[in-house]
Amino acid sequence: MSNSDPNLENQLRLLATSQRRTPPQLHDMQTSILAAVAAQPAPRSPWWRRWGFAIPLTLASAAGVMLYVHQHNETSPKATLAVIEPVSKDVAIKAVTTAPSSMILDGEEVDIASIDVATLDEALTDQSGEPVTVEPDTVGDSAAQQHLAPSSLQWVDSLPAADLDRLEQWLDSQAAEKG
Amino acid sequence: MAVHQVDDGAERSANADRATFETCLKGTASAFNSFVLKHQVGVWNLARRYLKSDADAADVTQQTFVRAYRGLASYRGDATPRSWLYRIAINCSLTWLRDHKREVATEIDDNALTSDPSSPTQLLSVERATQLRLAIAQLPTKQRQVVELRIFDELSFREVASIAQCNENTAKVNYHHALKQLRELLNETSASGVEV
Repeated sequence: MSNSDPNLENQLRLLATSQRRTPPQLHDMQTSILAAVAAQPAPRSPWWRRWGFAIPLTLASAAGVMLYVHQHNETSPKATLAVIEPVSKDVAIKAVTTAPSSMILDGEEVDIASIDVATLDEALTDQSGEPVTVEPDTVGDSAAQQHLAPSSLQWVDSLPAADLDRLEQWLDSQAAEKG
Repeated sequence: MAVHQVDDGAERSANADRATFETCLKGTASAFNSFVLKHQVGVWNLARRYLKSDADAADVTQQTFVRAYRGLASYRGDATPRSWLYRIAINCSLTWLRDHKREVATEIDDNALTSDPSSPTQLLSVERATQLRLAIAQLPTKQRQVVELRIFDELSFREVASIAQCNENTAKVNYHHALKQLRELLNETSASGVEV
């Protein structure tokens, strides 16, 4: 956007120069302006400019506090939490699948899978439909011990001779101690 | 090179004015006096173009500086202090014109640029000066304002834009169109052979 008529601009500047004047009563005008200005209350900066220095100071303080809190959290001992891990599905399934398929009852191995549940329920129910009361545990009875002894001590026969000798020696020493 | 020198000088002047403002806001009110002494003639000439009366222009000049002093805290530093002051001066002049509309209508009937100044024109014939004044008076308001601020107040386009409340490029476009229109108006005047 260049001006293509410097001559016109020059003429305008000459006109401006010719029109530019000094106020006829410059001194009076100046005096009245200064007096009017002096009569005004002194201007004050707005509060946000006066407190402008506080803004970076506040930000720096906040940053310092945050840094301190952050570091303090890092150096403090970690709280010990008791973590209760849920039983996973795999473990539960494994427990079910690894359940014993057989058990020893009265010295005999009973296959649980082969038991007929209906027959078992029938056996547990007497003629009147009342469930069969379970007899109290007979462990400790002499008769039971007699029944238990031969079957439960069969493993002794499988022990090596050296171990049996040591067992006999230990039993002798026990008997000697008891007198 | 000359343009850069002018810009540097204007920038230095603006920085000095800003420093004056800061000093005033810190409590040294007398610092404003130097600002008054520096710009009072310029403000008066600007007001004189609007008001056509030396005394009225002096009143508006005083009012301008008082308003500027009161509003020092609101000066944000976007514009140069001079363009900020001139904006206030234009507002004060327009307010004065609005408040004294009836008096102005009976007292004068033309723009200051169209009225014959008391000082003689130098190196410019009286006839040509009158033609120019009449042509300027016919310009649209915005273009006339830009030409006045640029030529008569010797402001940079940036300052002109700040006062005219437009961007710098708009100010340049307005100025360019104003010159183009002035040329056409002057050519028409010459072709019609109007004796002024």
